[in-house]
Amino acid sequence: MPSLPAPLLPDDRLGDMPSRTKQVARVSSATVDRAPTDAELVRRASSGERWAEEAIYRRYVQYVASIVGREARSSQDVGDVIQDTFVSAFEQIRSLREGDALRVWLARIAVSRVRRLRRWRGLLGRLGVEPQGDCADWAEVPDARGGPDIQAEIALLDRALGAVPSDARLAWTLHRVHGESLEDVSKVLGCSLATTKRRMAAADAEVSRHFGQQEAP
Amino acid sequence: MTEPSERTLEALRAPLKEVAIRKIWRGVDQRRNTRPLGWFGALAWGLVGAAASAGAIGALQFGAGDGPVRMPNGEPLKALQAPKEGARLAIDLSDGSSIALDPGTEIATLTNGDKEVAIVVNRGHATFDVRPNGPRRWILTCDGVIVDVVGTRFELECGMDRTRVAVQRGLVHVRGPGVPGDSQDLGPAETFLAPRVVDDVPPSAPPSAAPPSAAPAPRVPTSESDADAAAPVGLSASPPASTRALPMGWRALAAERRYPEAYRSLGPRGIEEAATSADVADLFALADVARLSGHHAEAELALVAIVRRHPHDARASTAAFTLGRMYLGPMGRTRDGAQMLSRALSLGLPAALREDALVRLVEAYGRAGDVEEARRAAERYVREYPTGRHRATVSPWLADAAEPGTAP
Repeated sequence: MPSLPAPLLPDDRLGDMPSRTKQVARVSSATVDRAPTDAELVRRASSGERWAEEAIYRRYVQYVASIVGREARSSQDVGDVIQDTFVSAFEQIRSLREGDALRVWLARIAVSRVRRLRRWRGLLGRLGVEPQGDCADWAEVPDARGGPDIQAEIALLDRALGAVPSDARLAWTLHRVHGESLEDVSKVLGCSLATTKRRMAAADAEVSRHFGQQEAP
Repeated sequence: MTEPSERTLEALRAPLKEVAIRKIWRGVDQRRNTRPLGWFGALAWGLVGAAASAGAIGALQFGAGDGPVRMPNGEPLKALQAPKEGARLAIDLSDGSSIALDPGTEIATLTNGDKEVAIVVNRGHATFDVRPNGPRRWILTCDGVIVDVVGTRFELECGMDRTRVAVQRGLVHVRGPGVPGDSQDLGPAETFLAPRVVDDVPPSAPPSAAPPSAAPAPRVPTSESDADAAAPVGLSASPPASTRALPMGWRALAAERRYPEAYRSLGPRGIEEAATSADVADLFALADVARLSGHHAEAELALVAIVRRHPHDARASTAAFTLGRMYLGPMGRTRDGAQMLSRALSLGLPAALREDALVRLVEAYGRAGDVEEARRAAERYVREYPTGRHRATVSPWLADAAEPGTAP
């Protein structure tokens, strides 16, 4: 009787993942009377209404988590960067003149916090305290959703984006995952439109190459 | 496939689950409430902290734990059913919150503990006044709509044709599969309306159901932690029976990955009964609820139903793959696992999963003692993935690596 010293595959993270990610919408329509706009939430938060801060957090926490998730090393780092982003945003919210720009403004803060984390990591790495470089992956994002097929695609995407620089990954995430315009991506990353397009092209090429190779033989 | 699917991008757009969202918010909130201290302030707070520690030790000595939210009679909040006629039923709770139920309204708790109170409103109209900044997270659910409560006063109506949430003070967060965009925030004087979710389970009782003369089974069992709690005096002694074919809210709870609660809300044999007529999407959801709450036999029922009843559905192969992994893992049925993985491959498993399925197939046959099949599976792996990442793992099973009939 053949025996294997250990399972060929270790218990993976897929075991506690649901088999699908999105519930089928069973309600065709629903209405909210006068849902507050971003501008209104910013105005209320600026005047000290704490519930508006929580509403802003609720509305954009997944967005911020999605941006920082691939760049942070661990779930602890992800949580810390998200927390820093919103604390900083609420401290400066009075400086936001155009409330409708809240989404892009939050993304800029999140990216600046990611870059700060990366610099800190690099410093630690040079001191020999912690390995240098980007070694986090999306599969390590706390509570990443999805069934086995989704998780497999996320792992593949992670390998693809692991081959490009961090700013190219951020550009790809903002544009392809969240549908931000290239102009807004440029604003978030603080670079020219041409640079953003070059970064997007590099990331797109890696993604296409990896997903093209994954075709069944 | 040259780019990620929309489902994958969607998963990346919402990577956090509710527990993490709450935890991070607590950190944000605490930091917003904390001001930098000078040395004098630090000294003062040190003295206050020491006094508080002494107080806490004293409290522990007297056994002053917080525990579940309690009603005026001292019993934990459990199931409430307002009389069908007469005045509203108003209950003041031990944490300073209160609940008022209109005549005929039924609610039941799913959890009631130090940190969380989860209540399902089965029907009727209830008004909740939750104490702000309390230690517990309050979650209300009604018919596919979940309401997260920050300290606030609001109404929740679970009617025959609609679910309505109306905020009078503070803020609530409404989410669930019935909510456009999956979630909405409601502030003061704002109202959310959603048509009632209609279950697709036919009204006729399934063969395994109780006879017509029997009392309907409780649809919303209370949490295990409440199992030993006595029924509230003067109130419904048991969880109220739902008038609907299936309990409400299980889909919403499953969407929030609150699988144990979703499983409990389905009631005894709930998954078995629902699986008899559910579509593929619901069968997957039922399988998740069962599998991820530790009820593998019921998960097997739902997954087998997908493979057998919907073999031409694109998702059947994924169901077979999940089933194969479950057989190989917690259920310890290696030969069944091998068969189901073979089935998954023959049903056209997506390319992203195929490599993993093949290497698991080698493992399954190997653990079942079927050397020849393990070898064939290993050869198939190498043929399909000559430079695959598990090449080294399957190599010992290849014909040129071991004598026939022997294990590597």
